[in-house]
Amino acid sequence: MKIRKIDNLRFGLAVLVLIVVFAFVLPVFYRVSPYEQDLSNPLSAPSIDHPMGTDMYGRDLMARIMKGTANTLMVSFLASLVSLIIGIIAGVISGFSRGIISELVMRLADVLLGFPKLVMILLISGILSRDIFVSFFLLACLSWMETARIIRGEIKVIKESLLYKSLVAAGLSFPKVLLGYIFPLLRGKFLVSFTLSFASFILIEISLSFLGLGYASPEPSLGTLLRQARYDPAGSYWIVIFTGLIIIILVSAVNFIADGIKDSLEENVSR
Amino acid sequence: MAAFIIRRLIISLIVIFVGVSLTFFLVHLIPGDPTGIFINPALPESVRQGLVERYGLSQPVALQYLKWLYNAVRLDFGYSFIYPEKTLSLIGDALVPTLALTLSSLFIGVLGGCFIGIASAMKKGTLFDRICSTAVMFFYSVPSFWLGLVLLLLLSYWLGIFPSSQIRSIHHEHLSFVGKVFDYIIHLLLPVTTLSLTLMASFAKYTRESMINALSSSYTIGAISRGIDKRKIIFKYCFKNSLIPVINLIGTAVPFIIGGAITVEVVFSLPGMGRLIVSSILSRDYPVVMGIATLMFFFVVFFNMLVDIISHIIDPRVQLQ
Amino acid sequence: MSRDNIILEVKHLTVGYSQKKPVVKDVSFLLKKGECLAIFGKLGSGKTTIAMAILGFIAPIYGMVLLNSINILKIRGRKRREVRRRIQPIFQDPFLSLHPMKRIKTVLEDSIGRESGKSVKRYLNMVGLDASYMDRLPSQLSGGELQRVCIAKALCTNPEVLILDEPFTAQDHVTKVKLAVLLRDLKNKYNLSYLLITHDIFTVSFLSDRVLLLDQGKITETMTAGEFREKYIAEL
Repeated sequence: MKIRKIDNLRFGLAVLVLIVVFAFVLPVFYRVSPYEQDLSNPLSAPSIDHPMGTDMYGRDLMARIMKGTANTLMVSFLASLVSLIIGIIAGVISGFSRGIISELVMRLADVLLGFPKLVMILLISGILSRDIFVSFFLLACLSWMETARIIRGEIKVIKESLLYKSLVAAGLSFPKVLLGYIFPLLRGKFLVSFTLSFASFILIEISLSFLGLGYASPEPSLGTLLRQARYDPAGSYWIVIFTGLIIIILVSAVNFIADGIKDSLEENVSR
Repeated sequence: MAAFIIRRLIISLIVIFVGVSLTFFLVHLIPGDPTGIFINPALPESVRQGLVERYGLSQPVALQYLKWLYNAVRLDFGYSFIYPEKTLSLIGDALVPTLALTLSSLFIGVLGGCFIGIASAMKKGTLFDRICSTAVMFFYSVPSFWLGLVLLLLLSYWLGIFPSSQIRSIHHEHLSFVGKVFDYIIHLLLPVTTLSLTLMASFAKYTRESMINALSSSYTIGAISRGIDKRKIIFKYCFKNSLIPVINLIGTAVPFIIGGAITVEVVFSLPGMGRLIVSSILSRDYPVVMGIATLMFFFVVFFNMLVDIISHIIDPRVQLQ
Repeated sequence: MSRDNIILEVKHLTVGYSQKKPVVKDVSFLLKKGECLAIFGKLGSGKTTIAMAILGFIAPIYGMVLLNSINILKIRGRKRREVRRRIQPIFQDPFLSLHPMKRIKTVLEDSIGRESGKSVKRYLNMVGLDASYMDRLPSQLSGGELQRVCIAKALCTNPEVLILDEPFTAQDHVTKVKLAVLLRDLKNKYNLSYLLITHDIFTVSFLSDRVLLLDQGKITETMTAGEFREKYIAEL
């Protein structure tokens, strides 16, 4: 049983690394342009020239999928980072303050939690700014709640612990206690939060681009590719298959990592 | 108890107030003439004047704000730019197919998911469990609309079994009552299947985890070793305890009822909220966008409050967090 | 008793989670320099709450705690931190008092703070541990060794008072005796004052000079260690 759980994490990480290599490193060797059209050869099946076939404008599908994966990964990663940072700040503030401030933050969190992130980003993207990085940044700013709630809970527990009391009794300053002692204890939770929101943002980006509001043509992303498939479904089997394959592998890998971290955290607790 | 409910109500009202106000200010952040936001610039001058009067758009911002609040509470969101209808009725029409889709998917998804989750938790480690877990992981990692696309391609385009779009056929009006019902069902079958599968995956994953926790908890092990009938323990304790977090999960899945099915609706061209949200945003139909945003807000806050109160009734230990 | 001799004075301490039901009721006592005062009572009698209040983790409903005649509950900010270093706790479970990821060396260095020149090794030696313990993690040490580390950690701040809250309850009997001897020697060597909180008769009779009996939040009796031994051990 024990070995199994660690395998989860390693497996997920290995796959993720493979995908990152596929998206960022391989293009250096596979020098086909994802933008170059070739209208004489639309929607072709996989061949030697085009290992995954072509899309409806004759662009090489493999190149587009590589670039698309890279685009999706970038936005999702950055958004997860922002979301984590804000979540930690909110969680710490809420965890250490008493009374009104604490409750206010949590109330705000409750309300925001109720909104599906996709709807939020649709509204942001549609009304405020089309640029995908801006809209994802804004979305990340509104996604701090899950992390904050977990961090707050942990901090409230830590505050009651003998360790915390010993540290305070020793007269250590607050920043030292927070950064030097509390954060290392929360490392695992930070990672889990980050990974889960990473998976979530990936799916959001795909959905957003699918609906036409994320990355805009001709810039590929895993979502825009599916969008193209939607509008000409009959000919796009390969697009759907290959894109779907990458998505499944990517998201499963991230989920495996999240599960793996969660499990190894539990192992450490039950000593 | 009553104090709890009243307190919750007051907080919810404050939150709603803040949210509705925010929507107002958000729109006023958009560069350009606010009149152009509420009233279609393409309308003839006389009609526009009338609407300006009605919605108080020529008045100072503060008064506009109050008027907006007043209208919002009365659910009067003005007229859509694109369609010759009141925003509210547009939303109402769009809500029906969406509710049909999401409610049935939720029903099937929750039941199926819980069943699979609990079953695979009890048969942990067996082939059944491993197959289910792999399947769950698959459906959990896949965007629902991709699934929809695949089903669409397979069953609609390729095999031609199911219709590929809309919620009724062209000749719907000519069908008998039974025919009409059947027509609806067959149009909804694919989208519902798609959504149900995705939901089932989430619920199965979650239920399995909490069921495993319950089964291996010291309470259960203690009870079994004391010789209490295993079935009894499982039903009375494990089930109940693993279902409590599920109720919470359903609570979080509820906003999904309006907004979560967006992508699937787009794939299947269903005339529901999803399509309305996307099209109104893309075509800058601001009254509709604001109306949807405000309604969602009302709904979310109201529902949160309801869930809190119900949780408190079920388990009085639950306090406002 | 001359006034100069008193290092800690607790006056009318009333602590509780609600006004109506205080857990500690109007407790007053004096701790002399170099003395070990035991607060002896059953579980739930409010002993630990007194310790928490003195250490500043629970705000009392009423009362004062005077360290060298200064009311330490009223001080804030940086001064508070300095004052805190003069009263150090030793808790029951040493494993929970230490950060699982930090090496012993780091823990002690953090406690020593800015007063360099006094090395970690010196404090380890004071509690009977050699330098090899510096690079170890808490999980690698036994209960007795961990408690020694906690004692060393407390000594790092050059305290005047140690508050010992059930310090040996989690240890086995052999270790208990060794630790008790260590604490006694430290007290005598560095002229420390102890507030010993426990329900363990052995610890009280071995370490303390005076004993307060605590029952349901109130002090019911005061006696010397000799009287205590007569009362409790003679009966066995």
